[in-house]
This record gives sequence, C-alpha cells and structure tokens, in this order.
Amino acid sequence: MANQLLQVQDLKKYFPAGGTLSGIFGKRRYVHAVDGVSFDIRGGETFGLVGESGCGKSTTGKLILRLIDPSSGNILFGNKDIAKLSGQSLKEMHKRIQIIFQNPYASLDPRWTVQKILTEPLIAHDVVPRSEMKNKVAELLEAVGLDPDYMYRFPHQFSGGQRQRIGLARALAVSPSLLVADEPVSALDVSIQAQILNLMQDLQERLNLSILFISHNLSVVKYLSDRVGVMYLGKLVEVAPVEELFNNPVHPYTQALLSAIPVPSLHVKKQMIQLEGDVPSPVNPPSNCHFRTRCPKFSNICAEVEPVPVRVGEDHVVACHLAQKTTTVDD
Amino acid sequence: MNEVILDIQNLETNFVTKKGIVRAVDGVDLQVRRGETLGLVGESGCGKTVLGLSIMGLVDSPGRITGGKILFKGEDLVSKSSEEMRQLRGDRISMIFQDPTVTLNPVLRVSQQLEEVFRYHRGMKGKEARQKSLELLSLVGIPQPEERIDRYPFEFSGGMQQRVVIAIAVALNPELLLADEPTTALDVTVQAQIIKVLKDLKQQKDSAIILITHDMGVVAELCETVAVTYAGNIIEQGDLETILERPSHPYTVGLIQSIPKMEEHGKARLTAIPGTLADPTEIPPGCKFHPRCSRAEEVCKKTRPVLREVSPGHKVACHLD
Repeated sequence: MANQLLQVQDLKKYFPAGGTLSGIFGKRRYVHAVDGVSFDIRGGETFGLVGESGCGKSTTGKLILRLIDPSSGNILFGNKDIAKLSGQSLKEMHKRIQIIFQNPYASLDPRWTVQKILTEPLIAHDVVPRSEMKNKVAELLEAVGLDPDYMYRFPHQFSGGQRQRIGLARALAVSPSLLVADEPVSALDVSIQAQILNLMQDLQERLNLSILFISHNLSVVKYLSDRVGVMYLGKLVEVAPVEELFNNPVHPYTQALLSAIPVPSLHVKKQMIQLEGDVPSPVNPPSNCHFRTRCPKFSNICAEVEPVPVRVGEDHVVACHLAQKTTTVDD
Repeated sequence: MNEVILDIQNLETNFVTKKGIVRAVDGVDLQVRRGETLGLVGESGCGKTVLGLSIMGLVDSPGRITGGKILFKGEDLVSKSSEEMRQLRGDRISMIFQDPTVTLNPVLRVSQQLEEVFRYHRGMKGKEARQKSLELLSLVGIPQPEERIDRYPFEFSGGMQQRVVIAIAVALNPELLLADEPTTALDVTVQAQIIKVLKDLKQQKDSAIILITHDMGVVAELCETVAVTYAGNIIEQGDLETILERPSHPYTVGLIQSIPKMEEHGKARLTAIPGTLADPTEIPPGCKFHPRCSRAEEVCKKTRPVLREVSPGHKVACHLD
C-alpha cells in the first residue's frame, strides 16, 4: 500500500493479572489487552480506533509510542521497528510521534507555567535555539487559538477546553508526523468538544499530520476519521473507510455497536440490535472468535476456528466467519 | 392532558463558597405531568443535577434552597422537615444516580438493599419482601434472580448494577422518578440495554420521569418534552420535536449544531459555540448567555430575559423572539 506512515503487525500486549502470588500458586494469568492487532496508518489521514471500555484501544495507542512495551509484534515506522527501539533512537522517534491524552486536568503539571510546559519538548528535542524559545511558544499558542500572553499562567487558570488546546500545542511543538489522540474530547462538554474537533481538523490540514484518533464515541470518530478500525476484547474485528463502515458494517459487533448509538433526531428510525450480557473478562476471553458469546449470528465454527481477517470490499477488512470474503488479506 | 404532579416555582438554590455565592439554580419554573418524561439537558455546571437534588431534598451544606416552591401534588417540599422528606424519598419520589458503582453499598448484599425499601416504607418482612425483590429483579431484566439476589454489588457488572439501582428506585411505583445521567457511566451497547429497561418501565408504570442528561441522543430515545438549562436557568422548554427541529434560543441552536451528526456524510465543519461557561461566581449581567451569543444586542447585556410562551407548549427566555 502506498504512502504508509505506520504499520502495526500482529501487536500483542499481555498484562500479568492477579497478585504476585498468583504466579507461584498455579499458572500465571494474563489480561489479553491487545491480542494480535494489525493495521496501518497512511500519510495525512485520520485513523479512528473505536471500541468499548477495556477493548484495548488505549493500550494500542500507548504501545505505538512505546509508553509501554509490547509483548510481541512489530510497529513499523519508516524503516524502523518502534517495538525494538531503545535509548536515543526511541527518543528520536518521539520527535515524529506525539500523544494527547484524555484528561486535560491530569496531563498538565499544575506547578508549571504554560511557558514551561511548552518549552520542555522544545529543549528535550532541541527544536529551536534558546533565544527563539519564547517566540516559538507564542507561535504554538496562537496556532491552537490561545492568546500568547497566556504563557505566564498556570493550568488551573484555564477551562478544560483551553487545557486541551495546551495539550495539543505541547504535542505539536516538535512538529510530529503522527499524533496519537486518546479520547481527546471525551472529558469536554459538547459545545467545547466541537471547538477542539474543528481545531484538530484545521491543524491536520495545515501540518499534513496523520492522526490515530482513539475514542468510544462513534459519532465523533465518524466526524473526524478517514478510515476506522473497530476493536473488541483486544482484537480488531473490522477496518474500513469511514463511509463504508457506517453504511455497510459487516461484522455483527460493528452492526450492534452502530445500532446502539442514540441519535438526536426524529427522522433516523433504526432497529436497535440488543446484545446480550456484558463484555467478557479479557483475562479469560472466549476462545477463537472473542465475540461469539454475545453474537446474534453465532454458529459452531466460531468456537472452533479463529476467524482471520478477510477482504470484503475496497479497503474493507473483516474478521468474521460469516463475512463474504473476496480475497484473504495476505493474498 | 394529565394532571401536573410537580410544579416548581421560582426555585433558587445557592452555594456559599470562598469566592462568592454560586447561584446553581437561579429562579427555575418547571411543571411535570403524570406519565410525562421530561429531559432536563445542559452542559456541566448548568445546575441540572442541583435542581434534581433540590427536588429530592438532598442539597448538602454549603448549598441551601433560598427561595421558591417545589409543589409536589400541591404539597410544598421545600417546607417539609428532613424526616418528612425521608418518608417521601424512595416511596413517592425516587432517584436513579449516575454511577451505579458508588450508588450501591458495597458491603451489603443486593437482597438487603432491595428488601430495605419494602421493610422501611411498607413494613414488610422476610419472605414477602424477598418475593417482591425477586419480582423487581426480573422486571429490570436480571436473569436468574434467585441465584443473584444474595450476591454483593461487586459481583455484578456496571450494567447489572445499574439495573439493581433502577429496581430499587421503581420498587414502590413512585409518582415521580428522577434519573440523573443514568447511562453516562456505561458503554454504548450496555447503555442500549438500560434505555430499553427504562422504555419498558415507562409503558408499565405511569410515573412522571425527569431525565437529567447532557446527551441529546438519550433524550430523543426516551423523552416527550425537553427543558434546556444554562447557568442555573431554564432557557427553553418544549416538546421533543420542537427542541430538536425548531429550537429557538441561540444556545439551544448552538448546542444541537455542535453535536456531530451520525446521518451526515463527509467531513463537515461543526458549528461550535464560542467561549466557555462563565465563572459561576461572576455571572454576566443581562442574559447570561450574551457573551457567547452571536446575535446579542444591547438589550441582552442589560436585562435578563424571562421564560415566556412563544407558541402553545413552547417557552423561550430570549429577547430576540
């Protein structure tokens, strides 16, 4: 595929579960947070990663930045495998990939001024000479729609939306080519959320930025993304261009998820697909197809064979036995 | 039209803080009829939860109801003693809270928490209370209630805990049910289950329901009427269709436009409301929304608009209509 910026291949992250003693008495158990995920992000696009709590979407984002180490798999960025980098080469990579976090109240140091917060990445990555530092900070603040005079203030003097703008400015300080945005608007009210979404869209166009947009909110993902991946219990069950995914979802989980969103309109009348029960524990996920215990279309093969991703249309990949395959992905 | 069950008149609830007085509820008038589900919508800090707590008589110090009346079937709840309110709560008025994981008592079995309602308010004992509790659990869609009723809350998932909370709230067929963000803490597929439970309950009982939420989608699923709050006031009220399709107040218009629409195609720009909610201790004079309003005129900066009926059933607090 042309123009690939990042390629994630069979990425896995298992966290040990239970206390330290659980490994001594009997077999050590693991939370299968990310369980063999593969996708790619292309230059200048927004890739939306959606799913419910505990599906592994945030873990995937953190793995790409190597904030945590993967259990196995590759994260190819240019000609390097992020999964294998360390020390100076990993630091170099952080100049190319940056993150903005969910909670703007926890992700800014309350004792630092905005100037200090924004100067730190500039110094760490040696972006501009010291003499130009202040101008650069002012420029960054202007880019995210804040008054440059705000650089002398502390985080507590800002509202949630303004803090998220500061978080964005900090991430963009080193001019990254990929921004991982982990639920960047879910802590914000809807009128403020719209401001931040518009800002992200503007910045993306201006800076030719690729964005991995992680969210549980499907309508926000639809608004911002070019392509969308749906995760369930550590697995990517469906990937498709945004219009295709929303108009023609193939995986039963995607169908249920889309049908479950309450729409603030009187004209969209749809059949809600009710899923039984809750998401099973990721410590002991159902064998083979993870979704089979809640799937309305379950058949015997789902318990016996693990579904492999198959291509069902242009750029549209689904991991389900019931999907009509055109070709397998590896062909 | 059904009888008016709840009639709130010029209610004021204030909080005294170091920075000054916060008028969380600042002169609210609201009527709810039997069988009606009213959506009380607004963003964080608009006073919607405090309004709910005021009705329940649960406003804690430093908050205090400083004016107005809450007439519940003609009786003023504001003037009732805390013991009288305790008799009402859980019986004729009850509430569903946002986060089920902190609403239930973690050290009591679910059975004890359910049976308590029947013991306290109806003087039921032993088997009778248990039988009633089991019926309730099946009503809210908990499978195999006999097996589950003696478990502790932590043995239930978030969605199942919220079903238990709902069961407790509707146990005695309250005439008025308040639900404060009942699905916000839940994932979307579980939210769909809880919306279904609430829809089914609506059909079986004729309680009036006040649904407090920030999510217009949930309102569209459950409510017949909507009241929009901003900075402690109701600024627009009407039936669901009017509010969604023909909102009149600039804030309501902005609120609805800023929601990303599932049914729209392509990358459109969202219409955001500029600025942020004013500091609650420094509320602007005149219309509280005027600093963020694109249509604000001189009069908006000076005089506070009152909520008035612009067409039957549709009330707006704006100078421009």
